[in-house]
This record gives sequence, C-alpha cells and structure tokens, in this order.
Amino acid sequence: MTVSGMLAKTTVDGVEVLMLQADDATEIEPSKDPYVYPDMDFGV
Amino acid sequence: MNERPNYSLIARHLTRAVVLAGIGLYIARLSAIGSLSLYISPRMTPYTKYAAVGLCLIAATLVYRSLKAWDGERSSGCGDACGHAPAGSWLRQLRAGVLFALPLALFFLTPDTTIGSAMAAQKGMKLSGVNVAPPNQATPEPPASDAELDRLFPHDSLTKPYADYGKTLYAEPEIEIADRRYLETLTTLSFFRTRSRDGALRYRASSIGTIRSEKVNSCSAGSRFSAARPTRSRTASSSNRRMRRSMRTISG
Repeated sequence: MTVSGMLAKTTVDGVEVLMLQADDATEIEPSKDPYVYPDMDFGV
Repeated sequence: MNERPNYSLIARHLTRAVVLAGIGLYIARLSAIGSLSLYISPRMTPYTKYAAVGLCLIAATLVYRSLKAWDGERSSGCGDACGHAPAGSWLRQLRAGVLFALPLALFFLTPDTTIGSAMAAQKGMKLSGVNVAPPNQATPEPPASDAELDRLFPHDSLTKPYADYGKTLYAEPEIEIADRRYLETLTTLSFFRTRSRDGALRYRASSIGTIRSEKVNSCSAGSRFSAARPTRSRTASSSNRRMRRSMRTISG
C-alpha cells in the first residue's frame, strides 16, 4: 500500500524513534521485488 | 556373469539425486510463482536458474548411474582403481546427507513469505506501534541560510553524504520514500533526528510534513505499513499531486 502522513517522533521502551503518522493509505499492486537495495552514491 | 547389485552405491546415488533434484525443482518452483526474489537478489536470479538446471542435470546423471549399477555394470574390470566406494564412514556420509536434506525439508515445509508482524513479534520487534507514547507536535521556524543548515546538519567526514542528502530533503516540499534511495532516506531521517537535539528534519513543518512510503523493506522495523511498490504509472506525478498538501509535523 501507499501510505502518506506526517513524520513524527515517539518513544518506544525509552528509545526515541521515528514514527509515521498515517493519514491516508491506499492499496496498490504488490511488488514483484519486495526488497530495496542501498545506493551509497545517493543517486549521484 | 552377473554380480549382485551394489545396493549401497545405488542408494547413495539415488539419495544425492533426490537432494539435488529437490533443490533444483524448488528453485524452479520459486521462479514459476515469482517468489525467487524473496531469497536472492534479482541480479543473481539468472545464475540461480542456471544452477537449478545444472542440479537437475547432475541428479539425472546420478539416476542414470544408479540404473547402470542396478542393471549390469557392476564391475569395470579395473579393480579398486576405478571403484566408487563411498569416502569416509557411514556416519560421515549421514552427516553430509542431513546437511543438504535438512534445508531442503525446510524449503518445502516453511511458507514463502516475507517477515510479518506475528513473526517479528516473536523476535521481540514491535511493528504495530502499540504501546508507544504520543508524538510531540511543533512547528519550528525554517532556517534561512547555509550556515543555519550546517548547524542543523552537523556531520563529519563519514556522515557528510547523509548531511548533504538531508539538506536536499529539507528543501523538498515533501519527502517521498520510494524504492530508490529508500534506505538512505530513512537513515538520514533517523540519523539527524536522533543526533540533533533540535531535530534536523522537523523544523520545516509545512514543507516536510508529507511522507509517501511506497514500500517497506521486510527487514526494516516499519513493517506496519507493509507496503509494496506500485506500478510505474502510479508512482510518479499523479500520486505526488494527490499527496501534496500542507501538513504540520513534529517536534522534539
């Protein structure tokens, strides 16, 4: 699904972590490749 | 003169053939149902398929040899020099067989799927956001200059690429977390949010507010949004236009 929302910060077990506050979620077609891969050049 | 078939040799050939053919057929099955990428990188897919074909050919050869051993070719006439006696004790052969048969059994007995919330929970990971404290909300003022950006994105030689990328994200009207640079984007967001007391990516409240998460890696902790990549036609402009709206974000 595609999710949109706000970046937030919260605490889980005393550890500050990022949290995505979802405002909208849309079901989409599943990907054939479920993984993502690092891009150490940051797309340059 | 017919000799008695070497049952030990035949059994050894057939066992190896079953294991090799099983692995090869399992790879073929994964490829047929499109789940091969759950296990290996897409770049390695062709080589894995070639390997599967090779395994099946070797298995066929072993079956052929076992049939020959069963049906007549029991002595090559060259004595021990041409013999194919198993190397090592039976315990060693058993260990070698289990070493291949066990993962093969796991292949067929376990489902082909990415890690889910239930499995992650068993490993101590919380993906559902349950029992989390409510987030803080604020709208800090956006910085005005490069000097201010440098202050907000402190870095050293190792983290400079992330700081530079963070500045790029900061200038964006919204952050799109797509397949491309997915890991780098999340790393940058997390890195500067936790490194800086003021939070480096949360001041531009009206600009950074919207996030689009197209896909969540099964290895990442955010799998509550267990998402998949949309088709190309839905990834770009139409989705962006739909998502663009002014939002407020976060604070520390």
